[in-house]
Amino acid sequence: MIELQEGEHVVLKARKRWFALFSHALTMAVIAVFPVVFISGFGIPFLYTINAGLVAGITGHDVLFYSTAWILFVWVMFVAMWTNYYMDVLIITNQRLIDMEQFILFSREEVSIPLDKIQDITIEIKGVLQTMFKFGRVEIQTAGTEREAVMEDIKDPEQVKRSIDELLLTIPKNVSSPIEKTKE
Amino acid sequence: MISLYIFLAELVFFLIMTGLFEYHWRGHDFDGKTHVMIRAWYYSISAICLLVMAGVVIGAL
Repeated sequence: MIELQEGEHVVLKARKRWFALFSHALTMAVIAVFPVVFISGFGIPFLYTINAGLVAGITGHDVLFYSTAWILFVWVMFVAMWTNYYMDVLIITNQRLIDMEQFILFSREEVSIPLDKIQDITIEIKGVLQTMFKFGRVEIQTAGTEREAVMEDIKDPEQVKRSIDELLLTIPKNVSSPIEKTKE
Repeated sequence: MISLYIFLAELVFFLIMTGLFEYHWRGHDFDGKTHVMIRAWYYSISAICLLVMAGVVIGAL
């Protein structure tokens, strides 16, 4: 949870486009149903196995139990993946830019960049899908040579750039604040 | 009997992951609607799976 300073308010929160998660979700769905489809493909309709005995001693209840256990496992893994996706967020306040990136459940990086430290903002929208669904890459360059904040697959990068540009016009030029970076 | 052990292992796994999820969902900046939605989906689907598994285990016992 971010703590806002006095006089600070959130202007925009930008997350990754749902499309970034879609391909992973589709893969998880295929993995979840594959065992059931695999068994059904051997001439054993899943819906009819509940009350019927099968070859090699596998009962319909076994199929139901192990399929459900597998689906629950894959579902929990998907929710972990969704949590990682949702916790990647770019927060723009009237004083700074906060880039939060969740790598896995126990690995997180937060970069807080005061607006007066921003030198350059680059957005990149490549390809048909990114153009159609309006998502792309945002890179924030500060005074150093290394890019401090990079967000991939972010929703509406043009709006993000516009918001930052508007805020940059409002900040005084003689204020100097440090860039903070924390890793967990 | 093996299905009972698998059910218990799955239950422990579910409880550990739920603890981790709640830690992250509460500790970070989710809006109210997202909080409600993710919990609704997560707990309802997980409950259905666990109930089905519990039913099979009880039936087998």
